[in-house]
Amino acid sequence: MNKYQRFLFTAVFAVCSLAAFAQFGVGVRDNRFIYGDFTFLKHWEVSLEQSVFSEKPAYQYLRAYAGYKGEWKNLTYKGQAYFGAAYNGSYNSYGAKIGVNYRVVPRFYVKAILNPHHDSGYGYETCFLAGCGVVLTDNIDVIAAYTTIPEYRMSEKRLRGGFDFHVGKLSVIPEASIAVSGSSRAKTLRTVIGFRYDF
Amino acid sequence: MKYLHEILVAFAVLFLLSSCSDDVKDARLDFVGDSIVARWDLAEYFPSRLVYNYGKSGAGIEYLESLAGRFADRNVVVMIGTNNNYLFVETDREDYARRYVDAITALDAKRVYLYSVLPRDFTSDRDDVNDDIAEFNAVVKHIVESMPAIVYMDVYDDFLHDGKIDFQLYSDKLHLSPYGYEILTKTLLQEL
Repeated sequence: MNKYQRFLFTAVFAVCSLAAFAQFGVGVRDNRFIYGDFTFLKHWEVSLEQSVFSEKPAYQYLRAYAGYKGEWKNLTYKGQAYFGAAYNGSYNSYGAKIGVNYRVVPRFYVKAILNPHHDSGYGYETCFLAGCGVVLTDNIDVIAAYTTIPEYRMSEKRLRGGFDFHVGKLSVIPEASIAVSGSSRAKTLRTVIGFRYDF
Repeated sequence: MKYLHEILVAFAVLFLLSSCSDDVKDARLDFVGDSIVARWDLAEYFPSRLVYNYGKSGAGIEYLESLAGRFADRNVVVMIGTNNNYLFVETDREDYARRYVDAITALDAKRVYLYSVLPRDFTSDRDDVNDDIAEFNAVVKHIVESMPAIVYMDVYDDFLHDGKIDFQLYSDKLHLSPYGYEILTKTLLQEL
């Protein structure tokens, strides 16, 4: 068994063993990442995220998160640490995400995430997201954010806007994402889709 | 500690993640060229690679020459030339091709991944521009054949359909659509 198979076996084993004791959800982030997460005792959360890049298997990327989340009045908060690596060991990244979501009035909320992030190739950056949402109906929010948190590997300054459709345990979040400056000179428009289902 | 087992397994996953050795170097790729490179969303097309974009709109041979020695011991991807297509005419072609290859060599890169100049159908183009581009590509390809440090990627024909440019690969008959960039990406990944 080579180290990649050992790595995957352990990850799958961890996922299966954790599933028996937790609530869990699955989803897709930014078109290219599938994930599953588990919540214990309402607050503790672990998650695994796997890339689905149009790349050779050796360049796929796996990331593990562990964190704590909670609520206090109109504020929800979450803190996570993470570590990820490409299967061929070409690069790794690690960091933390500390996020808050504050409901200012019943139909408007603001959101912020602080993300100290280190990539073995690009180095360290303090990334962040600042955004807001407007509740249109019980099932649809309009959302917008300015972010430097990497959508893939590279940190870019981007504006994102879209909708959060949520019905029951399913939420689907289509967004448009455009670079406004920074290392990416390609100010192209990306359409990114995320979804989540809670079991 | 009711969940000690699960916590230990989670840490085992993290430990194994950290124990992966650097079997493959995270090779940096520097992209040099004109607006076709400048508009290339490298972060999306190469999501797992260390990439830097040095594309510049309107760039030609002078821009390439200005970068001499800047990429010592690096892997460089080059797509440039379309803005100097007036120098592809028969009377200037050989001299310009040698100057073009000299400028690429002067980058001092460890390895250069060089794309052929792409066909175009811009409003102001002369009727035989693509014939000149094809001839220029053939001269460059012949010159670099004996240079092991230059990997020549001939994608000219991939951008044609029935002898004309394949319009779905272009956004404005000069710059590329996402489909066009998919072709460039796939070709490069096959060489890496």
